[in-house]
Amino acid sequence: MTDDESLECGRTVESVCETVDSEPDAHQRDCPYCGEVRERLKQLDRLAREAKEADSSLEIEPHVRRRIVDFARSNLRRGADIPVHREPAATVSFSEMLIARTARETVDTFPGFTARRCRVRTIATPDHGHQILGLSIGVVMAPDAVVENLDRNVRDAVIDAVARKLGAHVAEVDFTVEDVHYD
Amino acid sequence: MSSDRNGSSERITTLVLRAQDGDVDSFERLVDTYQAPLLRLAFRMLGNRADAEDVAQESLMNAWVKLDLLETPQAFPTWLYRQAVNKCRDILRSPRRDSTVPIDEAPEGNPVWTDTRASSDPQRAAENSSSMDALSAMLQKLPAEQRACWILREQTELSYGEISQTLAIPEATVRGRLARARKTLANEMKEWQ
Repeated sequence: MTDDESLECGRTVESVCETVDSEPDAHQRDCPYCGEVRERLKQLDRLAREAKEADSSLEIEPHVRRRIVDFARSNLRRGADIPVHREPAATVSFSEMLIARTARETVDTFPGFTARRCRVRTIATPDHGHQILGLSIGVVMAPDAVVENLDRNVRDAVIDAVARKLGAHVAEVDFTVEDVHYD
Repeated sequence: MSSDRNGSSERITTLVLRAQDGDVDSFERLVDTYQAPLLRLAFRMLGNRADAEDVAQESLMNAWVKLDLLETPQAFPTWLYRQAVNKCRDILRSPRRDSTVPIDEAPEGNPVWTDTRASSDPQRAAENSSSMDALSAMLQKLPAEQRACWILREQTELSYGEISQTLAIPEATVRGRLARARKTLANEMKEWQ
């Protein structure tokens, strides 16, 4: 082989690489340079496969996994504080993370639907101290899911769950079907 | 896409978006999906299990911290691999880069590789040890950038486009580095025969 990627016959190592899994062409059949590279590349390929197989049992230690997850749990991203009840003397707020989680968990209970991100917004005027909220939820649906369910049932269930579990009032729930999930 | 080999791309996107919302359970599933590929990538880059495990851990912790900065959730796998490769580069440049894992300290049930930098002669490695040691020795002789390309292609099984995204280099550069890596390795194979 020469110093660059070209072989003495004028072909490149890459061109041999690209054809190494198929039958050699007329040039390669008669070319000693290409033939030699083909043979070595096949050996390299075998070695790479063996290495991949050997590596397949390589996983991080359980205590390292635990450390990573503990780190995440102790460094939560809670998002913005969302006021849910305003009084002259005090405001009760929930983290956006908490409201979003409640909404996502509710969506997930409906067969064929999985929630993605949930954005929480406040809607202008508090009603008797209750801040009215709006949610925007990204959804993945199964091909056989009944999309009308989002309007008929999922929306009401989300509003009910946020009210029941957090005491917050949601007036608007917008769904965006972002993907169809084929499993 | 690489994510298809580790679960459907829709599933990965869903987990990333939920993790961006602060959902630790989804992040935990991403950890379970990518810890092994990260460890294997780092191990082949560094030839040292302890350092590789540090890279996998730091890459995943860093991913959690910076997840909000990821604008395209579909790019999560290559974004994560890029962090791992960058950490590998830092370690390779580090002056303390002389550690090895003695065989008797390797965790039970895991494959054992010695750090081949101490014996980077492929012929000698082949004579004294297994073909895996010989491959490790050959890989360690490659320039780090070529090694990263080869490992991402052959071991992590990324496409040229994904390697280009991971290393933030043009696809033509990926092809060039891979060609050079293959040529060098093919030459080393001659020595090894």
